[in-house]
Formats: sequence, C-alpha cells, structure tokens
Amino acid sequence: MKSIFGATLLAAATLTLTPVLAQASAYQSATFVDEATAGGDYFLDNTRYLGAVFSVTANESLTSIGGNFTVNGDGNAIFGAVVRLTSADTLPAISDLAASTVSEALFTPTGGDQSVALTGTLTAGKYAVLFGSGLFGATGASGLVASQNPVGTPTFVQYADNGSGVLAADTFNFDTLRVTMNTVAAPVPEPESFALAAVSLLLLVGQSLRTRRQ
Amino acid sequence: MNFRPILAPMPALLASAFAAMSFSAKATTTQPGIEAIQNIVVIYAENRSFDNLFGKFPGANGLNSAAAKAIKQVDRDGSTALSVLPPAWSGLTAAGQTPAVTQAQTTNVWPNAPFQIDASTDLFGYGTVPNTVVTRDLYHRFFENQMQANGGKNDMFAAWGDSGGVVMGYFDGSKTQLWNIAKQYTLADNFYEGAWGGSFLNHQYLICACVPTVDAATVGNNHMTVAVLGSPVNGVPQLALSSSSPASALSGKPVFTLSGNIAPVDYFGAGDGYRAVNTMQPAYQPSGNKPINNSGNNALYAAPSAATTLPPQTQTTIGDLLDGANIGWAWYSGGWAAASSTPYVWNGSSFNNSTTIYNTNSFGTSDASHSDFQAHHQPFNYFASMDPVAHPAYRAAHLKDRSDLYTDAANGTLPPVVFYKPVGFQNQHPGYANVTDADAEIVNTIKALQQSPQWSNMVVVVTYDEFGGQFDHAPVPKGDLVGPGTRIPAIVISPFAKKGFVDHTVYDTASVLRLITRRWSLATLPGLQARDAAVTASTGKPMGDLTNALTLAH
Repeated sequence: MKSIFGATLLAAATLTLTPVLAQASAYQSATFVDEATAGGDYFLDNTRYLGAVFSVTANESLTSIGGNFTVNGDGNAIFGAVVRLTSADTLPAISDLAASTVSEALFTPTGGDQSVALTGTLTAGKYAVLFGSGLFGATGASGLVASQNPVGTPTFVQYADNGSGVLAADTFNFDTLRVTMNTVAAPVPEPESFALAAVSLLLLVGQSLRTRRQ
Repeated sequence: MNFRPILAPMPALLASAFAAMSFSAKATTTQPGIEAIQNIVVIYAENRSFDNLFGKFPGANGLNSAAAKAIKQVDRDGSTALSVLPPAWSGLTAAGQTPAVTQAQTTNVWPNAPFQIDASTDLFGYGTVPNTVVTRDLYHRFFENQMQANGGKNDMFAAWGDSGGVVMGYFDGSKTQLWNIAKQYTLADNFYEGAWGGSFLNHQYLICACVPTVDAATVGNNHMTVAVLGSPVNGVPQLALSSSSPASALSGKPVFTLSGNIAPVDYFGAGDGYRAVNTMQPAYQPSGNKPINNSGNNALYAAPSAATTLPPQTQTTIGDLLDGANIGWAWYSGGWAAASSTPYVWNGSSFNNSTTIYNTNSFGTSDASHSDFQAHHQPFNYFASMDPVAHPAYRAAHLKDRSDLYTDAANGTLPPVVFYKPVGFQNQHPGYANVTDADAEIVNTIKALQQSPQWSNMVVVVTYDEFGGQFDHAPVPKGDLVGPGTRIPAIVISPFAKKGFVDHTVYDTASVLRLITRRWSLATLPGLQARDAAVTASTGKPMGDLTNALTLAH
C-alpha cells in the first residue's frame, strides 16, 4: 500500500506541475485580401445573411467569430451568429434559425478584418458562422468582401430573399469570402482537481486491494 | 472586437486547427468563358446620380459614408459653406403636380446636406412628396456639371445648378422594384457617366465614345450657340458669369454669359475645331426641328439651317464595328414607330406641331397619354449611315420600336447587341417623368428578357445616361476633356452575374462598349483608347469592361 500510495503522490505531483493547455482552434475560410484589391463586396442586411460552414471534432468553447467586412456599412449593428447545421448538414429553415443558434452578438463593422466575441460550447459537428441583420435586434447593413484567398475548399451559405419576401437557405458558390471562428477546448478539470481525483481513485483501488487481502 | 491571430503559435495547435477544418467537398466546374455571352442588352434610363437612387444601398459606397457626410455645399466664392441649401427655384415639383411644393415652401428649410425627397413623414413643413410625383428639372450640362463637381470636391452642385437645393435631394431607392433586382444581381457603385453633362452627349458617347463634330461654317451660318468660358479654377473649366449673376447661391440661380451647345473652338485640342456638347437635334426625323418644307424628301429631314440641327455625323460607332464583324445589333426605343412614321403633319402650308415628338401635356410633363418621345435620345439617328433616303433598309434594320424588342425577346430573335431606350414617360427624367413609371417599365422589360429563350446566355446592363443635375459624393476619376463625369447607377443582370454583389470596379458608360468589344474581338474605338490612357495615367488602371460583375472565367 505504501508503495502504491507513494506512486499516487508522485503522479499527483506530476499532474500539478504540467498544466493542461486550453488548446485554441482557429478556423478560417480564406485569408485576407484588401477590399480595394478585391474590387467588391457581397451585401448583407435583413434580406440576406452570409456565412461559411465549419466542422469541429471535439467539444470546444467559442471565443469569437469574424470576417473581412466592407467599409461601406451603414453604421448600424449587424449580428454575428454560430448556428448548428441540421443532421443533414444543411442550414436550418429560417423559422428554426434562432432556435438553432448556439451564440450570437451584435457589432458594427467599419471595414476590414473584424471579429466579435462570442461564448458557448460547440460539440462535434458542423456549424455555420453567419452575419446578417433583422434578427437579434440588429438593424444594420454591411457586406463581406469578395475575392478572398480560399483556405482549402470552403463552403459558403446564405439566407436570401429570392423575391418572395421570405428568406430561404441557399448555397453561395460563386466567390470566396473570409469568415473566421475561434475557439478553445471545452472546459476541463483544473490540474489540482484532476490530481485529487486521481489520488482518490488510487486510494480507492488501494483500499480495495487491502480489503481483498484481508 | 479585437481580431485574434488566426494561427495559434504551437505546431500542435496548428495541426489541430486544420484537422478540425472538415469542409464539405464541392463539385468543381469549369466556368465558361466570355464567349458564353450571346446577347448584351443595354437598358438606358435617364438622369439619376448614384446617390440620388442608390445612396442607401447595403454594401455600396453611398450617403452613409463619412466622405459623403463631410461634404458641405459652398457658395459661388468656392469656399464659404452655405448656411442652408438654397430654395428650389420655381419650386420642388414640376408644373401641374399634386402636391405642389413651391419655392417659398422650400426657403430656409433644407440643412446643408442631402435630404430625402420622398420621406414618408413631413420633414420640412411642406408635406410629403411620394416618388410618383414629377419633381422639377435640374441643369445637367457639360460645363456646369464640371463646375458643380469642382475637381472632385462635389461641393458646388447647389452653387452652379439652376434648381437651388433640389440638387441635394435623393429618393429612397428601396421603394423601387429595380432596387430588388439590384439585390439579386450586381450593382456597380463606381460607374461614371461617360461624358460630363447631359443626355445628348452621353447618348453619343454610349455608341461612339466620341463628341459630335460641327464644321466652322455651319456653326457660323446657322448661328449655333458657342459657350463662353472664363478662366479655369483649379483646373476646372468655368463658364463666364454675367454681371447680373447673383454673387451668392442663396440669392438666385447663376447667370452665365452664354452656356451654349457648342464648345469653344479647339476646346478638345489644337486644330480640333468645334464639337457639340449640349443638346442638338438630329438632321433626320424624328427630330425636335421640323422639316424645312414638304418638298421632295424634305419631310424626312429636319431643317438643316436650324441653329440646333446637328449635321450628319461620320465618326465610327460601335454599330459600324459590329457591322464589320457581321454581328447583329439594334437600337429599340419607346415611341419610335409613331415618331418616325408621323413626326410632323403637313397641313397644306406648314407643318403642325408634332404629336409624337416631345409630345408633353399642357404642363410640359409626360403622362400615360403624352409619352414625350425624346428625339435627342436616339443617337444613331444623328449619323449619315442612317440617312432615310440613302440608307432606308439599313435604318429599318437597326432602328426599331419597343414593341419589336418585346416581340424579338419572346421569339428568341434578339440580335447579339441590343440597346433599349424607354420613352420619355418611362425614362425617369426629372422635369417630365417620375421615378415609378420608369421603374415599372425597366423591370417589366427585364422580366420579358428573363422569359426569352435567349436569357440563359444574356447579359443585361441597366444604367442611366447621366446624373441629371443631382449630387453624388464620389470623386470622379480624372480622365480626358470629355469625361468621365458624375457617378451614375448601373446594374448587371444575367445568369452569369454575381448575385448580391456590389462591384467597386471603376467603370464608365463606355464600359458597355468595352464589354461588347471584348466579347466579339472588335477594334477598339479611339475614344476608348483615349479614356483608358487618361484614366490609367491618373489612377493606374484603365476603365473596367464589366467582366468583374460576371462569374465567367476571365
């Protein structure tokens, strides 16, 4: 028992001395190209939301989302949101958008690379980062800059009014936008508490062995 | 909103981040090239600056910008900011309109800033003015336009216009159907009128990238009006002021010595002679000038000795280049059939006033029964190649009526290059037309084109001939002596157009010609070469050819 307990103390000491990193993950659909070079933007307002799809493979906590926005905003706030895709990996119906939103925030783009802080936990799956207006109290208008340099093969999505007056989910497949999402690994036990748990577990094991011997 | 570094510093985190990016695989397709375009259709409306209609368009460089808000209109001394905008000289609304907004009602009510004409609430104490009302006309002339733009400052629109503060009025474009079309396709927010000033010159520029010529003898013999210039100010040409011109824009409209239709001799270069820069009439009917008499074929011509009859032109047009490449084209116009078949009726001793040309109502505006056909909106009719006696078949093949456009669209028989000019009632020109009638006509035409069997390979460009005297805040790129001038709206509508795109590429009216030229590998008109050389010298880039608005492979 003593030796076992000694090993337990050593393990606990090791855990305490080696902190667990809050691993950061950064997702981006494209790298930055200045608007003056790109030559245009895709508007977003209460008739169109724009965004990109990202996948996460383990629990992660949101820290921010962002993108490259036009300088031609109207000075009012838009929303940024992270929305969980459906089981079919599609955007939810517009009527389900709010319910499918993991987290959202308002901000006012003024042009260039900008992000907005978000909180919330993402479990493994696919998500869309969306920007738009007319929801969550946003009333502004802006745009995402065109012709960004793609990273991999990004997937872009939109909700757009096709003339019927109702927004409908759609693909956006004729240009590259810069949309970003930043996360850290979902909360894990602190090293000290993890060490105590390990000690407790080992004590229980030791107690069990002693009981068996008796 | 601080932007976080995209890449975490540790290699392990880098790997983790990219491993987590599991994008959906997408089918990749090869984009067709420009040869996929089989039809280019230009719908040419009237007299609106970009900010006048699209100044609040999302994602566009408009009136919400800091640059626009910083502009204050200054007085005629070029430096004193106006305390308020001048009143609308002779009123905000055109004659016969209801409600009528008078000059007195607009005195000392408009702050020195853009204001919404069609606001739904009574902002200025004269009631509301819906966009169905025809507002007054505004100066839109070659030299005045340059004086108003003032070398890019855009701060003398009120000073050098004839309409007081009306120049700063704008409409809520989101009330129009065209706004929604723009949202579905591409809106160009950096597109400039090809030439400073008015409709006559910009229609000419649209088809030839040139300024019409007049020989000195005709200028003299016909007593044509030649503009009188003073000394340029900061490189901007100035019309000479009459001694009776009020010193302040708040006291009255400016009075120039002579703002003529012809630029001073050699204005465009030593030995160049005379060129027409403001409204002249075609030498062939339909013209604003009656025939000289009913003898022989004279009824087919305008009086050649009239001071405003422009001698037949011979510079190369885009039509000539298309003919040379055996590419079909046509200019369709509302009111063409009636105006060209019955321009003026001979009563036995003289010609009656026309009921088909400039046929306004008693107030001088258009309405459903007074279509107000505009003879100077028919640019090809100024060219010798369209002589009604020498070239009747050629003329008939290329100059057509609106009804032909709709028939050809429905039948899938539109020629490769199409220009469409709505009649006065439906062209959105302040002074005789409102916003909504043109909006309905343009959108109806777009729908007809979308239903055409040719739609899948079509590019439609809806643009305006010129600014109409109305403020726009965007500094005009420095070009040549012709233009470009004030910024105007342009919308690219096509299955190939980028959707919901705001195109910031620098364009001008002749970008339409650049697209046509590129598509069919035509020779480049001299005016395009000159413009691109001038703009490249000042901005580093030539004018765009509209392909940035398209998803075609470049």
